[in-house]
Amino acid sequence: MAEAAGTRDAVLLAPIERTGPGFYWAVGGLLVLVGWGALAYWTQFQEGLGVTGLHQPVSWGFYVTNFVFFIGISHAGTLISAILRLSKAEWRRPITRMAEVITVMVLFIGAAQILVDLGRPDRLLNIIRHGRYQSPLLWDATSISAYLTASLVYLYLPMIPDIAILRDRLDRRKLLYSVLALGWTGSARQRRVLGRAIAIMAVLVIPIAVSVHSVVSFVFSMTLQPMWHSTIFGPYFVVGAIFSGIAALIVAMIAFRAAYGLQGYLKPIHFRYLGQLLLIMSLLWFYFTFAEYLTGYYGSEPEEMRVFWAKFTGPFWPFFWGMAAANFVIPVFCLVRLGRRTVGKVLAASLSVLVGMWLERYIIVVPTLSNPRLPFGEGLYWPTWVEWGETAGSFALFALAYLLFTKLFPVISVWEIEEGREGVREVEARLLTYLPDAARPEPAAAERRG
Amino acid sequence: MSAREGLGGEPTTGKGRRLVGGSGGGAPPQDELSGPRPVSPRTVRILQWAMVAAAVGFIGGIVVWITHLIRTAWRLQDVPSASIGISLVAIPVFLTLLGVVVYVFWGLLGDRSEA
Amino acid sequence: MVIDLDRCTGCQACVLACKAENNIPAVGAKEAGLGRIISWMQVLTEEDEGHPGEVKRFLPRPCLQCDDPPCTKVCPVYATYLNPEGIVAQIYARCIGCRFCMAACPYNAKYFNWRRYQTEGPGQNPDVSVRPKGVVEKCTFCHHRLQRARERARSERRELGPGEYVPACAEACPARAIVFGDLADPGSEVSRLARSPRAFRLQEELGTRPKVIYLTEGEGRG
Repeated sequence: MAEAAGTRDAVLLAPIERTGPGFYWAVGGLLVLVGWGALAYWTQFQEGLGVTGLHQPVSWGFYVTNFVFFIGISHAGTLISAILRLSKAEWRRPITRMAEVITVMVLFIGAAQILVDLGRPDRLLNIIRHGRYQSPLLWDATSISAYLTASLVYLYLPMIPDIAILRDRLDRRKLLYSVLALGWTGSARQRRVLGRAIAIMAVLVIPIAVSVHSVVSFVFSMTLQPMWHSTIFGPYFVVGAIFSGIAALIVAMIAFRAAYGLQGYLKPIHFRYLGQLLLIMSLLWFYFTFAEYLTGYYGSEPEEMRVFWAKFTGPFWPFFWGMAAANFVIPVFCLVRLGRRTVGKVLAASLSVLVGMWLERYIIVVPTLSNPRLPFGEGLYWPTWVEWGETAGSFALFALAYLLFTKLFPVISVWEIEEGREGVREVEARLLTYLPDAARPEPAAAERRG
Repeated sequence: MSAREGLGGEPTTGKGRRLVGGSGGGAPPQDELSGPRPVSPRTVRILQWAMVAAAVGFIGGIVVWITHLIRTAWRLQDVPSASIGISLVAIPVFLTLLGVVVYVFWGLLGDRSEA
Repeated sequence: MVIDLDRCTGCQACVLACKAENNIPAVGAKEAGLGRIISWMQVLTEEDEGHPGEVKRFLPRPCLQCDDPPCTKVCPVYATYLNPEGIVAQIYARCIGCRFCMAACPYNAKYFNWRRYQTEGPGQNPDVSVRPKGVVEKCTFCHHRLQRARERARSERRELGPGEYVPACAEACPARAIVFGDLADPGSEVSRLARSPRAFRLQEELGTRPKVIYLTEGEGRG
């Protein structure tokens, strides 16, 4: 199996075997941004959070926005990989690896955002030594640890047969691949064990993922602040996370498809299906947003309305309406007809959604803090170069880690593609079982039942 | 297939598991024209066991941590119900993850037969 | 604590006394312009809707020392908690600076050290610790004064009497608008005032049960 896969799918292993100048340019550019982020954080570490634009009352800003955003993107892996695996959707095969890698990388970056936001990061161990489970931040810590562990396992298990291919084919990094391949020989028993383990993980990882973004939302909804203390936040955040996750996945797929010449594997049909999923999530996101704001507006509670109008017509109106356009108007416009230029339309929609979802997190965090209940002045928030740098550095670090991953392991699951080719007969047989049985005479049965 | 390209100067990455030239005992002496050093099965085994140990240690550590938080909350009488409630869900989840990892290690490494 | 809004003139003597008593740093003009003034006792102003620009009411707002504090619920590390005396305590050495309590407090009574605003030096109150960079701080009802009074009483082998311990703001108010005492004692002056028909609590509908009670202005005023 390994040899046949290697020959036909050589292009999937090519990035691991060869490195072109494009890679070094990309790494160099990303390192510049990461360096900017590192410099920004170093400044903040030395002088304190005063170097940001935060103040009283807006004591949470870019960092918390980034935290929610990145954790949200981590739902890419779960949705595509786990749900499509469980529903035996054959079109998932070239996608699952990329999705799972996004999840793992972005969880690290997301968790790092909270560390960056701490006033005393040197006291981080206090969370471990003296944590309080009544605090939603501890729910976050537990849930994200669980999700990180689960998604690492869920990424690693399906990688094992691919690592075995690399161990047998390549001469470099033999130790790394031999260790990680866990003695994979493709025997029947090993395949059974692995299949079972992957199935269990696919089931397990979905509720963990739902819990992760629910507890992230609880950080806001468990307070008493206007337009935060809302029961819709749990499902709202999960829907938003899946939404932004699919968009991030599509962008990553298109980027590596172009960089590594994977047009044969990531075909327009894959983007069409993902684009349809993105469209559905856009409509779903719009529904939740509409319900949230209609409820607030109809109730007309004075403090809620202050925040409401701050978003609709007040200082935050460009971000709010930009969010509505980027999350709903543009994606729907791009995705309703995916006949021609599928990849281009889906890319445009995904980029728009990524911008829109970041704005959505910002619109949740800042306007509420900016309009406190008691008569303070309204607090405006102007982020500084430190916050911009940290944001740019975080995105760049994520991209860099992802890029380095693709140099070590295949970004499309080689053995699952091969399994897809070999399993066409089985799939056909399965499809036939969905149809009514040919043996029973139908009209006679209908007569007998009357 | 051009698997032989890129000999020497293996690129380093940020990944923690890279060990250059990790041949343990019993590696045959090399001449300058042969390929890269073969990997010693013993080293591989040691590292794989280290992986299992790390997984058990990590997840076990998390379970111990959660129990520690429950005990602290109980001692301080600070809403122990929150800690207990969360641990009722979290600890089984982590133990299941550990179970899957150990099952895979046992299933794959324990099987020496060929495909 | 009971604050009589009919007596308050907005002079801010309470603010200054608090700052002097509790080693509150002067953050400097630049930081103040960015909205980072630390002021455990803060006098809020409510504007008159009918006459814009005119102040209708001065509202001195210390930490309201809630009996069901939203801030202690969300602290991840036991850095803020409700102590047995009813004061919401703040442990600077434990705080990790996540600012969750700041986001949760509906009265914005918590303040953050965005930089290292001061170090230990002469001219400070030795009873109050100087806060480092990156931690949250807030009004403690001058808890150090309570500790001093209690130690004095213990050394004199007697119980702590009413009026022996008073926060700096209550002591400094020239209009005697701030009255401090034991709310648990039904005979104390605070308890009597708290039962007044003029009494109200800020944001009472939130259910935080603050222990700072305000007396609204009398008839014909405000």
